[in-house]
Amino acid sequence: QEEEKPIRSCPSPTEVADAVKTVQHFMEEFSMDLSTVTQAFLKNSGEVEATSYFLHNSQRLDGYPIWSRQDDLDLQKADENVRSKLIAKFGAQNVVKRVAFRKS
Amino acid sequence: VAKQPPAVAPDSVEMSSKDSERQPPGTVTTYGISALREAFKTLSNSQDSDAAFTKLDETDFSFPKQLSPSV
Repeated sequence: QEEEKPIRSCPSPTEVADAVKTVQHFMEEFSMDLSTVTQAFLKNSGEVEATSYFLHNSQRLDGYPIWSRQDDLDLQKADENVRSKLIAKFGAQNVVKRVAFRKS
Repeated sequence: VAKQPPAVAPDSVEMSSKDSERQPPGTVTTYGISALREAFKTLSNSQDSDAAFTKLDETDFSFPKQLSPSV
């Protein structure tokens, strides 16, 4: 039997090249530096459309806030109450997306 | 009167009606954190770009302050 491969993902060269192009494009489009654009991606769970809208309008298209460090720490807690608060704050779908993003 | 055939073939049903804008097949619309890390490392001039990326991840976002044109 083969050993199970670790889930920790290694992005494909295509995905990385695509990400590089998109980040560069956003840096030019919004006249922002690499750190700002990258951090905007991080706080928008890597979503291209959401990040673009956020950098343009200073808010998310879906009306929910962007993720903070404390939110990410709360996400790691196995506490139903904390999870419910996150769902109330970000919506269930965004919480699911965030969990997937943190593991990606 | 015979019913009209469906206008869309079953295998071409879009995944999300929200994402119906024209995009070439296979285009990534969400990047994983590891892909963003690699992209950052590619573009960064920092010697310790890994640590710089981690710092960005562990701090809250704020828009850069814009300089006043009158200054």
